[in-house]
Parts: sequence; C-alpha cells; structure tokens
Amino acid sequence: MKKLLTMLLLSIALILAACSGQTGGESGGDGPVEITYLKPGADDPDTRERVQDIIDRFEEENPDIKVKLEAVGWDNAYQKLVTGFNGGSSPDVFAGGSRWMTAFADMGALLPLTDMASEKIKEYPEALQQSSQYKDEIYAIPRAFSARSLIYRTDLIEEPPTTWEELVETAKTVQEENEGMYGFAISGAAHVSTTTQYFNYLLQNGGEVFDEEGNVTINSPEAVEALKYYTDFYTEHKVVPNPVEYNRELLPVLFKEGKIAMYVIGPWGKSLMGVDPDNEDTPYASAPLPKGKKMANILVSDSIYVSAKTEHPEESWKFIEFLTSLEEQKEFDKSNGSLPLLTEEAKDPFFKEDPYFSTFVDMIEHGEPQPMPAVWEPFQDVITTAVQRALDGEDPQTVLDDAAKEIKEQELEPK
Amino acid sequence: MFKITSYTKASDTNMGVKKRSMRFNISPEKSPFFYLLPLILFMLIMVAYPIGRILYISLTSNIMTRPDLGVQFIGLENYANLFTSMAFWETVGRTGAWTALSVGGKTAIALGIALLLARDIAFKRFYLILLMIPWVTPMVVAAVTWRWIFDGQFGMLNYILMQVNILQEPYVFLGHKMSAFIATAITDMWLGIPFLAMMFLAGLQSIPVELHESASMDGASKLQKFIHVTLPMMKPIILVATTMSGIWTFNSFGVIWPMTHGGPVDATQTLIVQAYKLSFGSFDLGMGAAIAVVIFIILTICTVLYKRLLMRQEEL
Repeated sequence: MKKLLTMLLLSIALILAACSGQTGGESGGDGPVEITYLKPGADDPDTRERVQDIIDRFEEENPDIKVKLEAVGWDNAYQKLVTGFNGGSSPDVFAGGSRWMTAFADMGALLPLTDMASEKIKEYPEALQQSSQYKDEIYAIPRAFSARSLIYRTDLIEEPPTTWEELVETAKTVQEENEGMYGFAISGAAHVSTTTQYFNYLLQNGGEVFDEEGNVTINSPEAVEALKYYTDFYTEHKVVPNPVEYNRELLPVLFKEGKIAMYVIGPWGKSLMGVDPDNEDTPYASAPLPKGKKMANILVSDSIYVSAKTEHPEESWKFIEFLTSLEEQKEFDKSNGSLPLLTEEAKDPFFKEDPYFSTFVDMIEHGEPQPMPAVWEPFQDVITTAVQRALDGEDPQTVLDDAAKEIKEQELEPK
Repeated sequence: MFKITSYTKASDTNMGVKKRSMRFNISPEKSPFFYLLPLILFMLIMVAYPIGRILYISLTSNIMTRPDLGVQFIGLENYANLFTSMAFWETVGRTGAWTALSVGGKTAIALGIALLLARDIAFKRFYLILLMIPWVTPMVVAAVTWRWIFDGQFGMLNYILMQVNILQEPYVFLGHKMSAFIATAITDMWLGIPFLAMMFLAGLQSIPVELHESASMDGASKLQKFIHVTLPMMKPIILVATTMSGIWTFNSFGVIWPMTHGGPVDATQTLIVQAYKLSFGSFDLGMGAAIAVVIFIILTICTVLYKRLLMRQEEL
C-alpha cells in the first residue's frame, strides 16, 4: 500500500513538475547580472540593430551586466506588459509611450525612481520633467519626443499649403495632375496615430479633449468641425486613400512608392521612408502643418521605465543612465529621427541646421501635450471608433456624442 | 510486481492475511480510480479550474488597469449589462450571420469538390494534395496572406480585377463594412473547405453503387439521382460535419484578428473577437469573461445538438 501511494504521489509530482515548466533560472552568484530590456518597435530589423548596438556599447563598459533585448511590435507591447505585471514575468527595464505611465503607476507596476533620478531629471525641459512625475514620484525617464510636420513632394508641389483651405486645394490639384496618385493621406486604422492625427486638427480648431477640470469636451462644436474636416478628405473631397487601412507606419511606405503626395508625421518619417529628402524618385521636404484657427500640434513622448518587479534596480538604473547620457541620447535622436530631448543636446547645431529636422524643432513651440485620460488604450479605442464611424459616413456630431458618453461611462477622465 | 510478492507472503503469515485484504481493497473494482487519478488531477487543474475561474471572474467587476476602481463581486451585473446592450445583440447576430455565411459557403463548395473528386478522373491524387494545402497552412499565416491579397494598394485581387477592367480604381476590400465581412468569411471558407471536402468524399464513397444502378434502371436523371439518392444517403454526414465546422467557425479568432482586428468600426467583430478585445485590449476581465461564458453556453448547446445528431445517425 505504501509503495502504491509513493508511486502515485511520484507520478502526480512528475505531472505537476511537467506542468509548472522551468522555474528558477540563473542564480544570483558571481557571474554577470542579466537584465532584460523590452523595446517596442524593435521588431523592425533596423531599429533592432540600432538598439543592439547601444546595448553592445553598454556591455563593453559594464562587463558585469548583461542586457537581453526583448523586441516586440508597438501593437503588442502594451498588452504584453500588462499581462506581465499581473502574474507573468516583466522586463527589468522597458520603453513605452509616456501615455501609459499613469495606468502603470496605479497598477503598482513601476519602480519609483525618485531617489536615483532626482538629479538626472533636471537635464530635461520643464514640460517633460512634469510628465515624468505622478503623485510626487518620478516614474519615468523621457526617451524620445516628437512634434508633427507636413511631408510633401518637392517635384510636384511648389509651395506647401499653409492653411486648411490650401491643404484641400493643393491635394486636389496634385491628384488631378498626377494619374494614380492621391493628393494627401490620413490615418484611420485602429492605431494611436489616428488619435494624434485627428487631435492635431482638433487643437488647431481651438478644441480640446478634456477641459481644465477634466470634463469631456470631445463633442464640442470645435471638435465636431475638426472631425468633419478630417473625414471630408475621404468622404467629400476623395483626396486620400481609404484611411481605415492605414496607420502612421504605412503612410511613409505609400509616400515612398509614389502613391501619395503629402502626409503628416513626426520626425521619424525619414527613417521609415528610408530615403533622403533629395532622392531622385520621390524628393520631399518638411513644412509646418497647415494651420486652422491657430497653429498647433500634439507633442508625443516616449519614456523608459523600471519594473517594480525587478531584482536589479541598481543595474537597471545604470543602464538607463547610459541610454540617456548626452552622447548616447544625441546619437539615438539623430538616427531614430526624434527631437533633441536633453536641454544640452538641443544646442547641437545638427538639429537647427538640417532643413528636414529644423521644421520639426520649430513646431515644438506650437506643441500642446497629449490628453491624459485615466487609461490610454480604451480611450484610444473610443476615439478611433468615432473617427472610423465618421469615415463611414455617419454624422460627426452623433459619433462624438457617443464617444463622450462612452468616456464618461468607462470613467476615463483624467484624475 | 508488488502484487505477486504480497501474494506469496500471504500464504503462511498473519501479516500476510492483512496485506491480502488490503490488496483486495484496491482491486479490481476500485483500482481504475487510481489509474485515472493522475489524469483526473490533470484535467481538474488544466480544464475544470480555468472554467470555474472564468465563471467566477464573470461575476466580478475587475479591470486590470484600473486598480483605483477595485475588484468587486457584483453578481450577475455583467450579464445584465451585456443583455441590455444593443451592441451585444448586434454582435451575436453578426457572429451568427458570419458563421452561417462561412459554413454555408464551405459546405456548398466542399460538396462540389467532393462530387468532382468522387469520379474517376486523371491526376486525382494531385488534386487531393492540392486540396490539402489550406489544411496544413497555419491559420494566421493564411489570414495575413489573404490580408495582402485584399489590400487596397498592393493587393493581388485588385491587380487582377483592374487588369481585366472590372475595376477602374483599386477597391479597399478590408476598408468597407460589407466587403470586409465577406472577405473574412471567404478566408475562413478557404481554410475550412479541405476538412468538409474530405468528409463528404468519404461519405460519397460509402454510398453503395447498387442504389445508383437501380435508380438508373428506373430511369432517373443525374439531378434526380443526386437529390433522391446521394443527398439522403449523405444527410447524416453533412449534418455532423457542418455542425462541427460551425462550432469551429463560431470561434474563429485566428482569421478575423490578423485581417481586420474586428474593424472597420465593428463590421467583423464576432463574439470571440469582442471577448478578446475586452479581456486583453481594455483588460476588463469581468466583461470579457462574461462574453466567454456566453460563448461557452451557446457552443455547449451546439455540442448537445451535434451529439443528438450523431446518435440518430448510429440508429440508422
């Protein structure tokens, strides 16, 4: 009987062991400490290579720390991280949208960096310092930062449009003159770029998503007018390819293929197109956004975070310090195509003199921060659904009323 | 082994008598329980526990990214919210329509293919291998490939339609509600046809030749033979195969998600897509679980029906 029991227990133990999979891993002995770094967007081979280069340089300087790169697409990063915080494993250090900070901090997923970063954070402009803090703790270190400009074909358009009306006119003219080409392109896919692109027009029309008290104002007359202008490109003027199929990452491809003559993007558009402004097939230049009632554009930033679950906070911080050091940050911004982040870095002549980059640098002045809903992702879903419904021909007022109602129901207002 | 040793020992000592009775206790009527125990435990952990947990979660308000709202037990409130929401019933209707369209198409095409392959034709083996290709293609790979076929700017379908002058300018198939609905269903059909065709082919080959011969002697035309001989004989297998295919199609996530993410707006959002979006998009676990439970109930009913059909088939 005893034997039988032992055998039973043994077999159960074996099954359980098989189920539970590998646990343990490397012991914290003498060998180098390994930390993981999750970088959204590194599924793209070029980005991956650039990030790996930075890691190699870091490992050379710090032989006792090994950094393992986890590459995921922007599409999956948020989901992967949230799932990891709740029971799974999460990377020690990770990059991501600054828009995620409040939700992550509330979930207790972020390690407060106040002790380590209180000096470092002063190297950044005031606006970024503020957006890295939440409830009196520093949770994030700014990583990349961008404004928006208009990219246009210099061989087809002599003078870039400067107002909303001119933008429509120019788009129509180019489209008529060039067979098989659209005058402009907008984003309408379920993707963050649909919200930021629409918000540019919203801000330019004097609207806002939330007012100062945090009430939803997304169905204000200004917002409705802006949505109508945005969707009219497709429904009324027919100067853009079907937006529902396109997000920001695909527009540069369309432009490079010569399918569109203008589009709006951040400074990384250049690296996504993969060609220089004066290339032969599709020469282009950047211009300030055509302005509505006023000039405005949305400023979007990414940050680096440390997971609350990390066993190596010091090594993680060391890695962040290296990533964001003046030299590395400058290198990163130039190759990634993001705007100078550190106050010291902005003094580099490269960002002022390069004709492509300087437009974006100038646009910072007209920049307004992203809205800060309690949780970004469901908020983004609500907005993209509204935009897609309007693109499908529904009345902008109705869809934005529904969006406002939805935001209230889900309690997504800023806290 | 230990059984034999205890048996031999049992022959003379007192201890042995005890052991003998113990040995008797665990066999033969009760021993199956012990043999099954590991598997029962395994099933409890891997199947029963997750189902129980989903049931429990569906009774709570639990939004993972909103610790500020807290996790509360709210009874049937999630279900009440679901059943009073128009959008939910639209999704249920849409899921039914999508499943019907896809399964209907699959059945018709697969039956046609089976009828062709049942004849004596040249290169039959070659056609059979061709037929297997969609079956061995991973679902996501197929969905992504089809997504590019339907693409508005670079898509193969647009290219062909424009070459033959059916279309003057490219049409964005996945960018319009109706066409996206049909395009995803077509992709699902492509993936599901081999299974049904194989089942139908087997069914056709099991119809005795005598039946057709006697029908011919009675002067039945080809169509009459198909309607009055082939279809009635095939009925059980058609019912069973389409019910199974229906259950799979109902839960077809791997086709819709890579192609449209449930869009445009929500034209291709079926129940399973909505459950995924709620659970892993907005991390609203309570509502996501409630939809999962609804799917579970609907499919359980389908499975019971399927089983009844199977029983009736055996009676025949």
